[in-house]
Amino acid sequence: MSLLRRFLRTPEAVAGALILAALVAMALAAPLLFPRDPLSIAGPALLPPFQDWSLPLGTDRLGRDVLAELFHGARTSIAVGLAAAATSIAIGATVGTLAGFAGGLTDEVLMRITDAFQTVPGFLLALAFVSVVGPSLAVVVIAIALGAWTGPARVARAEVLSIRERDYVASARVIGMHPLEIAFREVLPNALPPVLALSSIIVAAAILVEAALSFLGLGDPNRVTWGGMIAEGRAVLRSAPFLSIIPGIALVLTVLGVYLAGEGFVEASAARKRQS
Amino acid sequence: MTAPLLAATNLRKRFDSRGRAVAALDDVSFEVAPGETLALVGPSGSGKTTAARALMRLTELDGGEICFDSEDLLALKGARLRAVRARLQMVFQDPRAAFNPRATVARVLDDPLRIHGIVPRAERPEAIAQLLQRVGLSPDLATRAIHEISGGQRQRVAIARAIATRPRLIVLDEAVSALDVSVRGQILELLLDLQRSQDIAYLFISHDLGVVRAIAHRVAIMDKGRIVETGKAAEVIANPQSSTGRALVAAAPKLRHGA
Repeated sequence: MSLLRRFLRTPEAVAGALILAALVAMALAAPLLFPRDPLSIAGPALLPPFQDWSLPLGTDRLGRDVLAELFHGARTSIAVGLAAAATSIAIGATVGTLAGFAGGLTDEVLMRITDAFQTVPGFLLALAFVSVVGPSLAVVVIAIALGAWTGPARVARAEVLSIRERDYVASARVIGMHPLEIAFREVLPNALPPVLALSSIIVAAAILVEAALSFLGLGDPNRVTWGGMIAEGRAVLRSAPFLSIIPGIALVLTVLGVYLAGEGFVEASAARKRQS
Repeated sequence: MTAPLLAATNLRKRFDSRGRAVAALDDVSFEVAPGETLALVGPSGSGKTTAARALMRLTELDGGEICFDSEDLLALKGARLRAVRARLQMVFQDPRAAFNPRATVARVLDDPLRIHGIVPRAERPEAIAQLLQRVGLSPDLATRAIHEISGGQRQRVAIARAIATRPRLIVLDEAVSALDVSVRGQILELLLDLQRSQDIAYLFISHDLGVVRAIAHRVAIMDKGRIVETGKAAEVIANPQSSTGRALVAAAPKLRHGA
């Protein structure tokens, strides 16, 4: 519980946590507050915000409710962010553990593959993958993970290199445990904490990449996304700038919240480690 | 003399230390008979831990032969090596480092039973309880996490893990050095008791001649990667021939003045 208390002592972390809580509340409340399809027409087109209180944030070019789109867009951002982070950490931790634990040729091959992925900009990789396979939520998640797993892989490998020399790994070998079982049951769980510390950065980056893909028209066309909303609003940027500004603010706040809360959590757990 | 359980012949191993090659094992040979305790004694850096790790195939040798239970240990690999490990076990020096920090006592003891298919799954809790009792611990300890129990208790768990597969030889690498004196005596008693009842041979690595005198049948004194003297424990300690042996005896004053 002292972890929580230390977390709450840093104001940035609290701010991040509050933003995240609001975001999660939005995502959870979206189908209850706006049960209609957010992509359906709700009123006159290009209604500015704060004019009609049944449509508080106005409507876009096609007369869709901006507030409803914003709430449903939060669902997409959270889903993509979490799924992409989980996928890239799973891939990265597996590759890093295998490379670090096996050593030798396996290590060389896996790390050169990691290098290759790291040299290509993650966004280009995602762009290429989605345009070849076609846009859907699952493809977008895989595309983002494709560029993001190298960080976790490197951190996991470094951690495994130090853990594999410990006595408890030697004693697992002594009792005749299979090397794969040693790698994934004895070594990996103990190498995971510093890898998980990367997750806030990955979630934040994934939300931005998803928005950028949607902005370029490569998001899932059946879901509302903030990036897609910004792209929609771009056509009327001079006459109705709020259509781009509102989802833009949501995006900035979300990324900031994820990052601040993640940093706060890492700081708090590092402080606990120093004390023990 | 009966055929040895373990015969290590001409073991050689060099380590590179700051560009210079240091011989950790320089033509080391020794034998252990079934049910016998051989102590490898020497100052730190004499190569005794390297010898232990080489026997366990944790460190690869540069040369030499190891014959264990009439099998060529160095020729084995993969599944066949893992199968032999049931008969050749090891207890590590530091009981705080020898267990996965996330493990429970039950899981530590379950692993060898499961891996070597010694006890069917349904009977394992009972077998674990018996192992704990065998090493003088309460079966209630099974559900505890490793980090919750004391150093002496952990070393008993380590011994329980080692005897779970009914081995013929256990390598004890400074297994009592990290324990405080009162616990040390109890662990030595336990080891002697297990040896009598289950006919286990020990390779006992230590720098403490007092402990060695209490447990070992024979002693091999190592220095700078070589065995400089071997013989019956009582004789070597009473009348060491090598300079290293004399230095080790001199470092344990109560042995000189007692008796």
